[in-house]
Amino acid sequence: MLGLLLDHISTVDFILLNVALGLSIYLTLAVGLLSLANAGFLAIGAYTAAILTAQAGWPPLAALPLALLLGALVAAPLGLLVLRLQGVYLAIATIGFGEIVRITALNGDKLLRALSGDPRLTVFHGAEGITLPYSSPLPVLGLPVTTWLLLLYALGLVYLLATLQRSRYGRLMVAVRVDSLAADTLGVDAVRCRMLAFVLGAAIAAGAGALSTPVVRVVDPGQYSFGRAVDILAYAVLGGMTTWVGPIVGATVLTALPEMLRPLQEQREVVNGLLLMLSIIYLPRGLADPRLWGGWQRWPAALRDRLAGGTTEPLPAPPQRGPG
Amino acid sequence: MEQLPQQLVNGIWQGAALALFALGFALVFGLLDVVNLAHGATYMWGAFFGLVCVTRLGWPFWAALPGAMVGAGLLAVLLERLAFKPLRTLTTGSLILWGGFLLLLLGLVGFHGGEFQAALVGLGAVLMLLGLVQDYRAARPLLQRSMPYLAPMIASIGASTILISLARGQFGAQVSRFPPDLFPTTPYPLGQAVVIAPIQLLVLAVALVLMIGLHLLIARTRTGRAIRAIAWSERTARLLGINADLVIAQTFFVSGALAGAAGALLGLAFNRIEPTMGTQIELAGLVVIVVGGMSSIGGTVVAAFLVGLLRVLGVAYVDSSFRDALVFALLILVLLARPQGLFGRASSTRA
Repeated sequence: MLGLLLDHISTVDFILLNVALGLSIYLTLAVGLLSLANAGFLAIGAYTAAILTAQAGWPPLAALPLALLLGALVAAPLGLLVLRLQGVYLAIATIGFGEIVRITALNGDKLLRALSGDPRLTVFHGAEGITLPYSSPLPVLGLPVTTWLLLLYALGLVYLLATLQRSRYGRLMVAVRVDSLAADTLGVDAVRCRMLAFVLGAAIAAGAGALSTPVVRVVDPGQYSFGRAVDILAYAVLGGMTTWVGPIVGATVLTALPEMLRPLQEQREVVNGLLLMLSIIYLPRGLADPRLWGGWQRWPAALRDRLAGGTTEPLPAPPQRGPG
Repeated sequence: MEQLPQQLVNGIWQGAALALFALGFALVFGLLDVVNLAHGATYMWGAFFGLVCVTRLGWPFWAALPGAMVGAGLLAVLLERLAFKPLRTLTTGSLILWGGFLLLLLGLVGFHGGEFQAALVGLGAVLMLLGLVQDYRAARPLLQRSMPYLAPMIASIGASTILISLARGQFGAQVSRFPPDLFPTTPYPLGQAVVIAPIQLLVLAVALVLMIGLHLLIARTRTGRAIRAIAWSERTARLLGINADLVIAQTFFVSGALAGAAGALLGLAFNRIEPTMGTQIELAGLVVIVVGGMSSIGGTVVAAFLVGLLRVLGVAYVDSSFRDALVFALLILVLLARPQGLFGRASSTRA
């Protein structure tokens, strides 16, 4: 088991990374916003970490809080501007933001040279990207330390989101998603709720970007294109958008599947597209839909009931309520 | 400053091609309120259809262009039945269609050569045809549902992934080119230091003809009236006896044909055809329909020329690498100042 894990350690790393990204877009989807800006925030985090570690010599972990902060700092004014938009318009505006981030990374050196007047200043390295010096990561308890970091990050996010889902804010988020107008009239501050989800999602994506640098080793603008934003969305859609389990299932399936389909070579993307279409048409609530699995979990109980002749203890009666 | 007239000429012919592409986007959005993100992939396949007609079938370009349009149009219709229609109404026919599609993909992707592959592809194609017919004939659907706006967009993203991946399998990831002597290259002088190449003139002419044709189709014909009626309210249109499924299929055909024309023309003009060529124009097309007001045809055309000029002038006077950043900055500005688009009026002139 451990051997298998170690053989595919880069796949495991990417699964954990994509789980974190799927959870970051889940936060915005959970308040009913379709934002495709997460690839842009991922780029912001990755570039921050790459510049600080490869060029300023910071330790990798020290870049994480800065990336989180920077993601949130960029997201806050952007959110103030674009969260007034609805539906498709918000999606298109955030696609625009992602492209602007990518183009800025691609041409950041030109901009910096023009601003500073130093014609040899090189920070972003254009389309080639920043290559991190290779050092094999320290093994801790049999696994590389980078994997542990990603695992801790993903687990921390799961804890955060699971707590959030059952908290007052989680219920407010559901209310805003299901009927924003009704939530507004009930005194829920929908704008603040959306803003919070957007900024938190952006910070999570930027943090994932910072942790991704030792795994990807080369940070170049091509990785953070529109296609990446779409991939991130696909994790949440395939898994389901109503609970935090969804993005985890979706990211795991969509990251592991292409690895298993190596014999199909260039055409293995077909399977990803197919899964996305099939799930949105035939399973619109996603693979991790509680209703789908709830039915299966009840099978053994139903079977046992049948076998035991219906003598199992009845469920405790619900508390008495008035009619209605 | 002396190169300004030349830049204007470049902006105008590129804007015309962009308008062709974006009109297909706007048409579908006006009709169904769906952003069809597979439009870029349809455009790319249109370019490849044109290339196949010229290089493998040996057609002249004047015949390959309609070939590309018909091919891309049919592809768009198929896409509508596979990705969008099951989201509205699910029928037995669409299940058969999907079964055939899965077999076809299995045949295309899973096996290399041999009779088994040919048999799978053939069987899949026949099943898909049966499914299409059955889907069209169906009087009572299995399921009728209303989807959130997100669903069709995601389905089209999946379709786009499949189409790009299939193109990569069929034609390779490298750049394909038309034979170099297909079209004369000596540019015509238009004035002092202003020239236009024959192919650029052709792009402009074809685009203008198609735009006028589209305008006449929407404004003057029975089909056009039906399209406008469905854009207003699909339910009412159905109650009035309009065959909405047929009209939706026709609209998708027109939309795909416009994308196919743009693909074949721009593929020849830049002589660069590759599986990922749809992504950049798709982003530009999104900007165009937002600036133009999502579904107004006149607004889309004006916005396309605006974006085309902005891109060309951005290359000439700012920096080539920032031209798309300029375009997206325009997008965000327009969204913030006038979310209904520069030329849009709130749900009045649609489709």
